[in-house]
Amino acid sequence: MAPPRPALASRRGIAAAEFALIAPVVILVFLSVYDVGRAVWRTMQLETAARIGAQYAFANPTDTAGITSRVQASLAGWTGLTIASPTMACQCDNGTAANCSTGTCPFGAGTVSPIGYITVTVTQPLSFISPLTAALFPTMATLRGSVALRFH
Amino acid sequence: MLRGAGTRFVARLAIGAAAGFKHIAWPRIQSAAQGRRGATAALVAVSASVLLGMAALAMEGGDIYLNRLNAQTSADAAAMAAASAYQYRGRSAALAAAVEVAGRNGFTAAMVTVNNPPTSGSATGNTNAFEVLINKPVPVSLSTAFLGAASVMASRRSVAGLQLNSRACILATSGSVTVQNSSSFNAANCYVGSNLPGVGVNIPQSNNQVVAQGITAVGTCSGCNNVRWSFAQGYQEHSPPMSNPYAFLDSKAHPTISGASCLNTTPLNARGPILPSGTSKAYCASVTVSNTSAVTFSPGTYVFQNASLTIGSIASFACAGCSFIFLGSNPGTLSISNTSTVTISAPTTNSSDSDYDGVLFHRLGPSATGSSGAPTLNLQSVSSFNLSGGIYFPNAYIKIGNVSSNANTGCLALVGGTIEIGSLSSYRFDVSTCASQGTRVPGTQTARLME
Repeated sequence: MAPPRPALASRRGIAAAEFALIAPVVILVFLSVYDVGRAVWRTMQLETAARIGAQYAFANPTDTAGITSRVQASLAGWTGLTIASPTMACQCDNGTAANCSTGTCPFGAGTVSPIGYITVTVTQPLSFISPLTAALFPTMATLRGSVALRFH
Repeated sequence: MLRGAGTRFVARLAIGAAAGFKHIAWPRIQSAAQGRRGATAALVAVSASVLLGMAALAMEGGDIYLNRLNAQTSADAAAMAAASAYQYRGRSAALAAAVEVAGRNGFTAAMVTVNNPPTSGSATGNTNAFEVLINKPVPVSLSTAFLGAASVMASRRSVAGLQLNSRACILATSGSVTVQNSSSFNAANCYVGSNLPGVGVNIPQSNNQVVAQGITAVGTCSGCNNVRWSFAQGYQEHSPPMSNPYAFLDSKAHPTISGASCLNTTPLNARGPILPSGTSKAYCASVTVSNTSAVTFSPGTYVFQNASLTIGSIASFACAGCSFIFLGSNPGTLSISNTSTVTISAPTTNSSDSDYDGVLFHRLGPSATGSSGAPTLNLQSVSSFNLSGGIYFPNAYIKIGNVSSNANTGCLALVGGTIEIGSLSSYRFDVSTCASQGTRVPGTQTARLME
């Protein structure tokens, strides 16, 4: 019959203590990894949605409601989305602002339409599950997909 | 934005992990008999660093993919911007437009290369195409061991160009197109458009029915959003300019006709047909054909040098295989009005000058002429109006009103300065048979991604 082990030599307790100490750190790190991964994936989805809106905008630059609904439709089921109004802004070649529907610009010896810009932007707040990510990456609190277009 | 976030995260994570591990009471390395005590800690340390490394690699990979996605979208937008700016603002402005759009999407000029014509791919050498290359270095930290570099290039390429898209039957090159007071305007198989900056197309409420394949405006369209109109392919504003297939006639050289080559030198009031002049002779003073019953002109080319032609108040007028050309330093006007039946077709092959193949009416347009009250080309009050061929009246005011047609001819390409169409009851614009009649047809152009 073997003698009983001394209390200090117990291996079970050591392993449990080690695990108890390291577990919060490991869990926190993995939750942060999950947060970042989710942010990257969601940003890709937002970028893709903005791109889909931009593709429609190229054919229908004045249909702001249509552009917005294309972006919305490609993110079906997402909540908390903010889609900035994709209104065209126009300016002449020399930088002065112009009216998009009636404006004209001098160009060389003639007259041309002003340059039109549309930016399709969609944002969504991200709720972190790890306080570590919130502390390290405050910019990830709002994810953003954006495409800027130019006409003429 | 998230660009570069993965890398920063990895860096901070490494620091954080190191700091975290310091607080762990690492078991001392014990004697051989007790050696297994530290095994768990060592295992945790090794596996944690591997796991962290893998997590970091995954995040850096995500960052690279995100940058590539952005680069592709931006390259596409930049190439499209350059393609749509090219014919309108010229090559240098188009190249600058591509760099500008890439900049608006977050890529600095140093990351952007624009080639016109493209230097690779299927569009190599195509002067209408623009190739945009975006190369953005994405810094990596932990993945450096795997990749052997401190950064990875997010490289994407896009090629876009203007492409001829759809046939058009009505094009105003320097003014607006107005369709008003019409019970039925029908251009179901062709586009209607204007290259005028600003409000180029007007289709007010006063129409009853407006049908077109589509509307194209370099500027904008007033009234196109009316739900009563039927545009099979919708209407496009801020579009690239439409192509003008008759532009070559603007710079065509013409001999000045004088002396015996002038068929008349004083205004001629004809009660019957006049003879074709050919291109070597011309009518040098105005001609009026009116107040008679039925007139049929012989096939041929009728040139009017600084002279006008007025056809009106006759029962019927016909001319098959005819081109009416208005030349000179101060070209005249053409008016056809108050006639019950007019049937004019252009020659498929013009025997006098092949440049006029398929051309019905053409007037040199060095400067803007005409107004709604005094149009340069006036087609009014003809109950059965059958025109077939191409009409090119640059810089001129064209007014068409109170006309209808029973025959529904399949080819009428109308290119003018300003075009006003009103009070149509049953008139169809179509260019579907123009190809077989030798008539050139304008077309819409669209910027398209080619690769």
